[in-house]
Amino acid sequence: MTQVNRLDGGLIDRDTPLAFTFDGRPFTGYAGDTLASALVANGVRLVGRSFKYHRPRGIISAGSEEPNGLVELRNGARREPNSRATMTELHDGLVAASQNRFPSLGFDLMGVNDRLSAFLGAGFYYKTFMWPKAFWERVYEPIIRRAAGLGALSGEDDPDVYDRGFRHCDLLVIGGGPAGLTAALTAGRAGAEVIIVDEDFRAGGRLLQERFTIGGQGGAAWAGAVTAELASLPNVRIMPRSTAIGVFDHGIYGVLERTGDHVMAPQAGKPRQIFWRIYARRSLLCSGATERLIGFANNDRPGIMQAGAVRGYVNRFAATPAERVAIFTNNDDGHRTATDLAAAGVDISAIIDSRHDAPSSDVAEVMAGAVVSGTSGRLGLGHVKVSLADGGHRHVDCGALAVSGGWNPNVHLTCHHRGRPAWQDDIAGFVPGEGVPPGMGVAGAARGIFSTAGALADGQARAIAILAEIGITATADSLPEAEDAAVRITPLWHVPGRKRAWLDQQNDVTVKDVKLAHQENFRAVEHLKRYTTLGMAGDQGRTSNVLGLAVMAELTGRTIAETGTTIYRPPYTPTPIAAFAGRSVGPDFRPTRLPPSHHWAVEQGASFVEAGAWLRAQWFPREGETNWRQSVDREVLATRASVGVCDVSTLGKIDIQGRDAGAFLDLVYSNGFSSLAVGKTRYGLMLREDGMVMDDGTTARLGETHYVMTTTTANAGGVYRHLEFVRQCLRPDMDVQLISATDSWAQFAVAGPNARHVLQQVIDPQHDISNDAFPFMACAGISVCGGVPARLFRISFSGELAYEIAVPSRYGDAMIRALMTAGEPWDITPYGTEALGVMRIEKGHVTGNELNGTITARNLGMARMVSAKKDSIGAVLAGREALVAEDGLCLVGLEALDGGQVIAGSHLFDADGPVDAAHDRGYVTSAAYSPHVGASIGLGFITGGADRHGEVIRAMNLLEGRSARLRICSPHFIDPEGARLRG
Amino acid sequence: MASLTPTTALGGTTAFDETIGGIRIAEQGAPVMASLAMLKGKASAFTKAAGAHLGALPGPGRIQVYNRIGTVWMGPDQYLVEGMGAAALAAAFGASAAVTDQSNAWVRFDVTGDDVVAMLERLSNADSRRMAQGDATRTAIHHMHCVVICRAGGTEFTILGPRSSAASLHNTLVAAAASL
Repeated sequence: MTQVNRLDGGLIDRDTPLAFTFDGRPFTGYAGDTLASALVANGVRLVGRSFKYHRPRGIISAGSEEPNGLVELRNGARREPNSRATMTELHDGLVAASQNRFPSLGFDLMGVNDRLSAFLGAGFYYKTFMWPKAFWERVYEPIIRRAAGLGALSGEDDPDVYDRGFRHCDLLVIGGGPAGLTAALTAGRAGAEVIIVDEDFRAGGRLLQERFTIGGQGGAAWAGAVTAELASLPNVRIMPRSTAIGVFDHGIYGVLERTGDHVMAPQAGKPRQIFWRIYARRSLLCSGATERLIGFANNDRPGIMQAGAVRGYVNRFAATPAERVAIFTNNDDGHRTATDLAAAGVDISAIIDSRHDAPSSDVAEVMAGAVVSGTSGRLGLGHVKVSLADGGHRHVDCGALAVSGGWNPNVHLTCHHRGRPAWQDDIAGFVPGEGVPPGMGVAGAARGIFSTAGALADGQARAIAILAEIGITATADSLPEAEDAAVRITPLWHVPGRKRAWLDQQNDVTVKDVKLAHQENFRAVEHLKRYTTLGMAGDQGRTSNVLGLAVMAELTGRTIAETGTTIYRPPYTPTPIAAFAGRSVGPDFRPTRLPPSHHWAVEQGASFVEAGAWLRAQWFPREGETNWRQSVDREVLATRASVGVCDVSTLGKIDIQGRDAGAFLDLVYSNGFSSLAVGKTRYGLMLREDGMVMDDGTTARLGETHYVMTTTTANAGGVYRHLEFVRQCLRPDMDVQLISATDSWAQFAVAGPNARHVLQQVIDPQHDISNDAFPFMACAGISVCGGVPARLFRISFSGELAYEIAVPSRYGDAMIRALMTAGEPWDITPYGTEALGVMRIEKGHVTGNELNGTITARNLGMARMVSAKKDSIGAVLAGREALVAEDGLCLVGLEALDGGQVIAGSHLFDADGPVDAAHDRGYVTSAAYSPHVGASIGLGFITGGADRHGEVIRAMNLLEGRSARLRICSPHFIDPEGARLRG
Repeated sequence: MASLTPTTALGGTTAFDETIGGIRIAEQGAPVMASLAMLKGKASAFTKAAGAHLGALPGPGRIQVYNRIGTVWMGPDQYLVEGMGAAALAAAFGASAAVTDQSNAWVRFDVTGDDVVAMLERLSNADSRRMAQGDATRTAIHHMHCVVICRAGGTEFTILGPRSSAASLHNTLVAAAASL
């Protein structure tokens, strides 16, 4: 098909033809077209089916308010449903398809819904399909969900990348129409840092769609000249294809820039879209206005459009929706469309003006006091039925009807901090009211100033005023001459009639639905919105809201001002979740922390596990091992028999210095630390203010005023934050300084009876680490491998003779290799977090599994660690009556009998008796297979546990339907006397 | 006895250095850094030592560079010093300061080129466009706590990030450079 509706002129580049397809049919348009304008030029009126009734629908608007022209763009994984044809920049090879139809757009079987409309009115799902009850979930809802809705997702991963970004400015101008351009120019010339965003790919706003002259040149040319000057100013940034979608706290604006939507696919590595956070000291909303329609019978037929959009297509895109166009208006703006169409040589059937005092026209017959009361035509408009002022009727032939019901200022962003728009009678529309976000000004049509001259003057004046608030002086240069027509409107919201008249075309809401809401007493605007779904579609009711409110006002006998309006929330236009996510997807969802031995562990073929942000080696499989248990059992046995090495750099390390460092530790730990000797390490228990255990770890005293604290891997951040809170807020008088040293040190646990032999190979010989010189819980600054500074701690998590040796992180990779080489004579074995876990359970050491936020020191059998000699955080509340009860939970060891398995999370019950909440005795926190014991073991809490060693109980895992018989025992499965670790 | 060969934060024995489009991203292999915090009641001695060894103390959002030693304001009475080791600092400040070696805590990338600000805009909410030589700010880059230091307005910046996340930070920088 050739471009049958293409006219002369327009802002398109006829030297750059672009090929595209719609529903598989090939078409041609030009650079500068949108998909919508190219379809209009090609005479395509039917573009989609409606949400609920599957009514044939065509394009209504030429902007982002489009409720009907929603299509699927692109193929395969890049398929994007519900894309607005009016905002889709045409490019060569564009593939578009209609949606919500079967088998074809012209013949849609689901069109049967339209005949069933009597059953599908507002709130139908609250009243029908109720019986039988079970059918709702299984039968009705799936059918209704399939029948309704618009486009479908591809179901594949999005192959494109999205970016986030941050920009700062003095003044953010939202909208590039006459008001916005003037404001930006005023601010730019004053030297302010300006960002101007516009959702179109070309700046100018309405000026591109009108034939106005500004200072003697065409509106588009003027916009081009201003844009060129703005582009020449280094302090001004112009962001086309960018929509301000939300106003957030502290002057932060969300702006979606579509950087790659106008090409087939973005270049590799380049984003399709960027979600900008713009930090603006001030903003000026110059978002213009949206024309509304008028409700009349069958007013949703393809070919019925906004009058302003019709002349926009003619003027900007040189495309007419039809050869013959009729106009239906209640204000003077409709006549402007007639003039422009006539100038372009389009035949005008009639101007139907509902006002009895309608002006005359030089270009077409004016039917004053007349209204459109019906339409006909299969899959598109054929003619309209006009009810004349004298009571008669006429049929008017037309392929398109240009409707103007007046203009609504685009106040949406003024509502994002719960601002309430206010009704303004003279323009019959809502303007920004109370509660506009702080720092935001509004100018031009967005606050009801509809003439071009008014917009220019207001843009300038508002920019000067708002810049003055931040101490920037801008001057009022002389403004060019422009049209300055007054608004003349006599509101007409809908033409009464028996047939359905559409208000919200995207959600299929009619005048009848509003009447039903009124009848059923859903009369408040918020109720009306939710009961009928008016304004709840992706367009947020930009062409329909006011109509619905007006109909409700009419029914209740109140004014629209009294009726009020619902407000708007971000995003202003639909925004892909991918844009919010930016690069935080897949493996890059969050950053990873790698321990210093990571690259070495990868070489060993280790299996890795995420521990918070860390990626830790979980075990090191060897040839011949077919499952993880074999690897883990081997690592445990080898460590206990000879020596093993494990990277424990992930434990939190906090450097604590100051004259009050000891007193500070006395406060944050329940046990004492100021008494710790230099060169010694002590286990510490840290309580929350409420007396529950927060974390545990060892702290070493490196000097009189210098300690280094170790935290669990998982709690490193939380403990550091807690210590800072204590330092800054609770005891600012203390002389203490903190800093994280976690990343600074590569720390390795070397454990097993031969640990000392291995370390003696790497530690410089002047350091004596014999048992006498360096006993259990000693610590020291030493050097290794010929002078590399290091720290050595004689502490043991495994229960073996063990050390932790720390070197600066840059030597971590070399250190693990040196330890492995040094340990060869003793068959040193690297072990991962699984073996670490097995050995600590065998030794009865607690971790995050046990310290679950509900556990006290008493529960752990460590009540004596809460020193009564001093004050410490949590000590008082740890003494609460319920927390010191004799029959409280107590940490125990658990051993499975009969070859059974201990499962973490199981609850514990007496050997006999009911299994219910009333008889719950406790629960299992940790479980492992112990190669040392030769059975499945675990740790858990059980009431009165200290006195129940030897007792057989049941563990029930109701979630998995499993149970086991367990014997309660000491939590120390290995070396309860601690002889090994002191050896 | 084995001798230990240090690696860079990215795990190599030589520092990463690549130019992507108009942006050079260069890892600084072996930074020398330390934290410096004033102890209570030692303001006079602390300030005196700072004057002698660091030039002066920078205010919030600033780095003071003196004799190739950079001092970044990190918090009230807290600084990050680059170019002077912990031992030398401790000796210089004596009992007036808490000094902790941070040479192994950070990865340092120097990013240079005409498009650096456009790249930084994709990474951080720091107003890098307005940052001038001597400005330095703590900020978050892709969830990581970083320090951005301006060496020359518009063209030369240093980004410090946690050493353990060097690979993630590096990926983030490279992706941002490639996305321009």
